Amino acid sequence: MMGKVIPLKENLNTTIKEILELLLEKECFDAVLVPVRVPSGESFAYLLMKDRRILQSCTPLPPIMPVQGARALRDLTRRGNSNLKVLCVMRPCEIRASIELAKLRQIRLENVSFLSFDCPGALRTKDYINSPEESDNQYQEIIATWESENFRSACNTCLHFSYEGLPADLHIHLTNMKEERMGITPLSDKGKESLSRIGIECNGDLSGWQTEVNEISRKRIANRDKAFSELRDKISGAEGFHDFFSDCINCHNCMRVCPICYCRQCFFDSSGEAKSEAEDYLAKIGAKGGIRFPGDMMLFHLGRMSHMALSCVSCGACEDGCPMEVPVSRAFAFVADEVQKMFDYVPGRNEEEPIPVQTYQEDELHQYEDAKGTG
Amino acid sequence: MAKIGLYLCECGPNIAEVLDLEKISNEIKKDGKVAAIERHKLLCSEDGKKFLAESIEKNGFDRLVIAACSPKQHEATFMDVMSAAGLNPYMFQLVNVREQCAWMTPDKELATYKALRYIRAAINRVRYHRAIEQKEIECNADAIVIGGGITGMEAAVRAAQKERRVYLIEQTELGGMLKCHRVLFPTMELVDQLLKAKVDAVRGNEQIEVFENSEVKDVLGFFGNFVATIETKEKEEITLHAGAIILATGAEPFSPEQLSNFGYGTLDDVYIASEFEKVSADRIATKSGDPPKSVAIVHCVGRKNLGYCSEFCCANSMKIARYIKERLSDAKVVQFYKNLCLPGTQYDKFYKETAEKGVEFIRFTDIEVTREAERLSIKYRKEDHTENNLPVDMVILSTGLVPNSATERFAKMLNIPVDEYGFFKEEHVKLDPVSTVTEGVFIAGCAQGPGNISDSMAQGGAAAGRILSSVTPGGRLQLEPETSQVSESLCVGCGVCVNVCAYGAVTIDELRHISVVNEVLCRGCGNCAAACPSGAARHRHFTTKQITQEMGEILR
Repeated sequence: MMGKVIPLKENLNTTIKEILELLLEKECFDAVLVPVRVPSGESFAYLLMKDRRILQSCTPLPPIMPVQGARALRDLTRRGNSNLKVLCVMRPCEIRASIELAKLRQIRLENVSFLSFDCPGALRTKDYINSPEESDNQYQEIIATWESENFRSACNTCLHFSYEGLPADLHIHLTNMKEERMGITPLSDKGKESLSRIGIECNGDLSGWQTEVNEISRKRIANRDKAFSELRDKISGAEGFHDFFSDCINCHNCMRVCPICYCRQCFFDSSGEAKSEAEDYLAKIGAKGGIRFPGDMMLFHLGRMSHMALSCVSCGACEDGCPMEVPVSRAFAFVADEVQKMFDYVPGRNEEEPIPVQTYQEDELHQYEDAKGTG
Repeated sequence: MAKIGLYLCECGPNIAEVLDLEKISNEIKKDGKVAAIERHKLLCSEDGKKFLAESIEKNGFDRLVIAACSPKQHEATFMDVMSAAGLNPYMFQLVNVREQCAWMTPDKELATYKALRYIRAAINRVRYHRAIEQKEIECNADAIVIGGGITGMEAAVRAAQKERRVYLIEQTELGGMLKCHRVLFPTMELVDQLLKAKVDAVRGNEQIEVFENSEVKDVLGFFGNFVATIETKEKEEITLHAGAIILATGAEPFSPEQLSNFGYGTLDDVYIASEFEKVSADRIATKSGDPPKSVAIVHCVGRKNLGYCSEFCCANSMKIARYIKERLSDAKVVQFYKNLCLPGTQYDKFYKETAEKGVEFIRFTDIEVTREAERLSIKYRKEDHTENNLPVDMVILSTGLVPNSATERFAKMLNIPVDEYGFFKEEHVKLDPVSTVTEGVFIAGCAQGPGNISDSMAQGGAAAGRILSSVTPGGRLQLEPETSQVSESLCVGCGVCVNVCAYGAVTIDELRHISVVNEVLCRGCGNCAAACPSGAARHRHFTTKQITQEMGEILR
């Protein structure tokens, strides 16, 4: 892995800003899509910009991820191919979600490039809003140590935090931040060309940095195994699933913040088909003795899960957005992991790789047919 | 409020004796969801149908539930009665209380319980049925036949009629694989006569337009309205319109070059069967110019590699033996075989006659062809493990047929599946052997799998027959009424439905960024509706509402 080791100037964000500035100046890109702190100071939003002065206000690696970047890119490119060469500065999970949306024809990737980071994780938005300054300081430390108790749960179990299998163009290595330096490597020809255009020579060997990545991966795998094994019993069966989601207030916010949930209107929000006549609800009560309203809580989560499981990048947006603190992303990450393994599929790995639901094979998955001995 | 009529058919004793229809009647009455319940001894009889029609009118029902036999038996019968009585036939649900309840168990109580649940489910469902209109489209009665072999020519001649033009497109010249043969089995007639007669019939038919040395570039459209672009001999692109297509693109002989033990491609005087017939048209001779004193014909060459028996080759090998014997009566002709495949009434006799003419048959387990000095040598092992050697002057390898490159090309172009060996796959091997999943595209001859000339011609005729019966000049095409549709307001254009459609009926409208269903191609399988996360793609007669209403009761 050849790249360039760059000593930090002031801090990480200013060092990256300088690179972005150069990339715009040398016309490698027409614009950048990058997070910027909102006027209240408590959150961040994606801004599309070409003015280098406005670039000064950006925060390439914000401590939180209030909006999943794939949603921003979807809004930008949905109407068709962009002639604008845009560099998107995003976390790996945001890039991977973008690739999934491209496969689902919701994002057009022509002329879109990605700059990614080794992502230590994102803090919980609610915690951040309560004390932005304190959290900012905390995050500086986190980038150096890669340890925190305040990450989203999804981040603690994330295995795709680095560049491996990531279809980005440029990647910034952050696993040696204790030594006040970062690394940058091109991951594509486009990335290589733009680096050479701004005078960054990739003559340093960054292979050694992989040691830290492997070390972090080991911890994350241990976290993941522990979390999944605890979850397995808890969420199994209709009752386990129901109890897990029982705090749900049917606000459907998890669906709204999910980068993958791409329906124009959710089936459960569109009138008619999913709803029954009052008398039919009464008939449904049966042996249970009562029926919960607003209805379809379980069906909503099951439905979303069946639609999302293959493409879920486990970014944790759903859980972050839940006002009731239902651990949604834990359930989704767990089920996604199982389903993705079933098809040997990694979401966001490659735009050319179809999502298994998009392909039809007559001869597959026979091992599941006989699960109950019924063929 | 829907006015539902429930009919309980006794089916003679079949249903009446096992189900407690009285109880069912009372329970359903209590639910209060149907306007009236009628009972009849045999609803499918003439008397029953009359009763049904009159009762619909008298009661003014707008929806029916009939508890009777399997839909496969009488669904269409009852739908016809409804249409005649002025009711849309889709405002109806048939409950199979005979096969699925009465005939399932002698336990009257259980059977009645199950029937009651099924009937309730149907009543719940039928409330949400909507009228579905039978649509028709204008269609082009002309046909395109691709492939000018014996199959394609036969199909073209049978399909071409007064008001139907047939465009016969051939990559090279008319004749196909038959051009490689000299005589036919089992009659030993000369091929030339048959071929000439067929070619003359094609060329003499004013309704057939032949395009030789022409290539099909692209086919667009669908059943009733195909548009094909072809490149003619003069490199000119022309457009043809037709309602149906017959693919008779043939096959080619398996080439045993990869099998080192036959010496094919390396040793002189080793031929595959079709080559031999071609080179021996005037005179049978070895490379040195002398007539061969002995000839070995090896059966089943490549049989193991192919994984299937090509059926025609055993008889063809015997035909070749006799062809040689008729011309070189002193020549020794030996058939090396493993198993003889000679089905049909003609071939036992054919085999015996061949043996009587002095053709030897040797059963082998292993075989190798080499050249020793001036002659070829057949080294073979018999079933009793003895190893033997036979010097010969010529070896003819009898190989089966494999798909040619056209098969794959047209499979892609017309969205037709191929089987595990690469031949076109029919809609159903027994029930629908010349149809494909793409409506209006038929297959015939060796493109569908190896066969002899009689079979190929019969298939060509059958494919033509399918066209004659489905697209009539000036006629209209009745479409499948139970199709899918896509809601423009809900569709987000993700295209998941496009890939799961086996019929190529769903495409993306790039301008509106939504998917659209071609109702001519749609067969109503419901794959798209199942795959759509938004509920935008829906099956007209299997809406989520209808299914949940029905299943809600059954699974309660």
